[in-house]
Amino acid sequence: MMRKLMIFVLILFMGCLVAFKTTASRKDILKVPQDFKIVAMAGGRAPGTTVSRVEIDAEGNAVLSKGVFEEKERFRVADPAMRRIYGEILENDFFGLESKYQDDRVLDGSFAELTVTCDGKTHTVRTTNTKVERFDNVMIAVNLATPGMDKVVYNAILE
Amino acid sequence: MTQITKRVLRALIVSAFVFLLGLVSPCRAFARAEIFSSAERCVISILLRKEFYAKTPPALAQWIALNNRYIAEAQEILNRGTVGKWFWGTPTQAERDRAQSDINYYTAQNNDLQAAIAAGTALTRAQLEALVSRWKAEIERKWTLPDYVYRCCKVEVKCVFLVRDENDPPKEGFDQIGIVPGNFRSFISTNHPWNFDANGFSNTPYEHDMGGTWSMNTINDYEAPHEAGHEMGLKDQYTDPPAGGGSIPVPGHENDIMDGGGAMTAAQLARLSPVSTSGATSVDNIATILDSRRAHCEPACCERHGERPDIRIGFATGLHETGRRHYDEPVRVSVADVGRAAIPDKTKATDPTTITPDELTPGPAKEGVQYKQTDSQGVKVDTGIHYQDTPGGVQVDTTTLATGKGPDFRNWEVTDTSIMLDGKKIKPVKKDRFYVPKESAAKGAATAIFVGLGLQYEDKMGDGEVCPVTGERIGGGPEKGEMARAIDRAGMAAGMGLLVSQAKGEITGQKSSFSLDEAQAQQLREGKGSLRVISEHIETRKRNTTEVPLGEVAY
Repeated sequence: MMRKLMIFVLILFMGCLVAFKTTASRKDILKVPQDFKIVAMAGGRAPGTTVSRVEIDAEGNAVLSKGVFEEKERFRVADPAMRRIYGEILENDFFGLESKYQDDRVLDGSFAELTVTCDGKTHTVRTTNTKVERFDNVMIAVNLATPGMDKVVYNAILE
Repeated sequence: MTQITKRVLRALIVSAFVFLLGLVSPCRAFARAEIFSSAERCVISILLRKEFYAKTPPALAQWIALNNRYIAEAQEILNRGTVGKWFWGTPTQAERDRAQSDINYYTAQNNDLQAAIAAGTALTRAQLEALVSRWKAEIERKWTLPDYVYRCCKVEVKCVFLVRDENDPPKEGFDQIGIVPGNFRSFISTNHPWNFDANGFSNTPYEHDMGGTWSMNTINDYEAPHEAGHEMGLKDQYTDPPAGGGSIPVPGHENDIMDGGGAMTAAQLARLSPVSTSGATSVDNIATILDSRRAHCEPACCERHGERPDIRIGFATGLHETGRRHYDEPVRVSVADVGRAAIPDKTKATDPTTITPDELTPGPAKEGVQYKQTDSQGVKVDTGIHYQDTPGGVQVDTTTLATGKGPDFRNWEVTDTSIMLDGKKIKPVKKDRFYVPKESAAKGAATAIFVGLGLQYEDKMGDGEVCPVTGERIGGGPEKGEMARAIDRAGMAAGMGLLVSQAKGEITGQKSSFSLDEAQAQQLREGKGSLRVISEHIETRKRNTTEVPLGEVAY
């Protein structure tokens, strides 16, 4: 009886291992799709507070703008960071998010908006004064890909 | 038992007692905005109590943790063992090169983030106190306008601001505001819905606790006073940034402290005010707060400063002797007579004054009067409307009084009136409250309405002596229209006048003046207008909205 139980557990374990191995993981992401594009925008809601915007294409060419979107800097996103951004989009099922998240109990504060295009699909999500982990993970990846301390930041990822 | 043991035991017992007391006592760390009125100083004070502390932002540390995750994954590829190779496969040279690149990249990034944390993102106690002191001064200076008067009282905003360390317990009765460095955007929050009304006001800060986080890099003379406006119940007067731009001000609020406009410089933002004008729109946030909270300025303050007291209308006995007329009994008055500017019938009657509702259609006549009575969900609204042609259009003066049924008779007050013209809302250029004792309202609400409408109380009281009871001007003063004079006479004939003494159980009505241009006047004549009257139950705050037809619409 004990032996049968051990064999059953072993088969179950091996099955889980095989399933785990065949699941796509971050390590398997070699390159982002050719039509990949991401536009991240974030800043304060109240007048006078800065709004920043970064746009990145599939080759890693990026433009950072601030204020009324005067271009501030052009830079190249390194390969690890590109794979990271794309990986976060897939792992967090960005295309499955709602288009708007907002906490109405908070006045002023900040907002963030992300538009992602890949594999023929485009989706925009906007969050206002609320943490949305699946959204924030992608925005953090974008911020870490943006050089220096000038980033597309908002309250939810600063707290 | 040794002395030390006794002391330790005593300390333990006291600690346990305090701990248990904390569990059962509703210890409230947070505060609510409060409004006080001082009869001695004739000042209305709005009090804000806040305690500030520097928050250690965890974000940068979290980003370092995320990067460490990637570094660990890359190191696994480089250091993959036999089992790992069997499961994942042996890494190719390209994969190993990529993993090493990732390690180098994220390690460098972590070094930058660590440097940012070490660069002193936290405030010292002295810096915190200086910051809080600056905010207190900004808020009090911005909101305490030297020439501003609310019903004969000055208005001041007072801040009691404290500072504590992050790990100290919050002080009871004080809102808790964390301060963070860098690009953080200040906000105010509550766990209760805001429920802003049509005037952009919420009672939430006066009934529930507030909290929030402010940036240490606030815009001078704007951000702290703006947040203080929220803490006093005001709404933002901007719309959220659309894709690709900054926020957009609500039209008419371009100079309002509760807005500003996305393209304004810091210097322009610093010039915004709680009381402002933009085009034809006037914004008075202080009056909005005090009206909504039913703040009271003692009538003695008006007498002390030689200004007119609140308008009180009711049946008066022992009328002031004017030397011209003296009515000691109510008389029968016909509204039709009032409308036609005729001398009212002074036939004495034993019954209290009765008014027959009637209306006149304003048209080519220079003046017109209407009386409307509506009953909506148990709330009766009496409305008097006076139209007067002006060179640019028409002036519409309205007086409204709301009463309930049975025990709720005096429990309703009119809180807002506006004219709706073809779907557009027009706010009054002037608003006044008037008070009618319950008994007078019960006897003749219509008469009270017309007395209030009769413009008995002139703004320029100093131009001539005015009888404080009847409001009749004794010599001098500006000319009134025939209609207004007729209403005055009717009111006096009815035995109603202005009361000086404070009466308990008063019902609060509202008198509003609207200035319409010629196009709007034409819409009014075409019957496209209505007066929207919002009244609230003084206890339950239940709201009743009544639409009173204006112009040519028959009642």
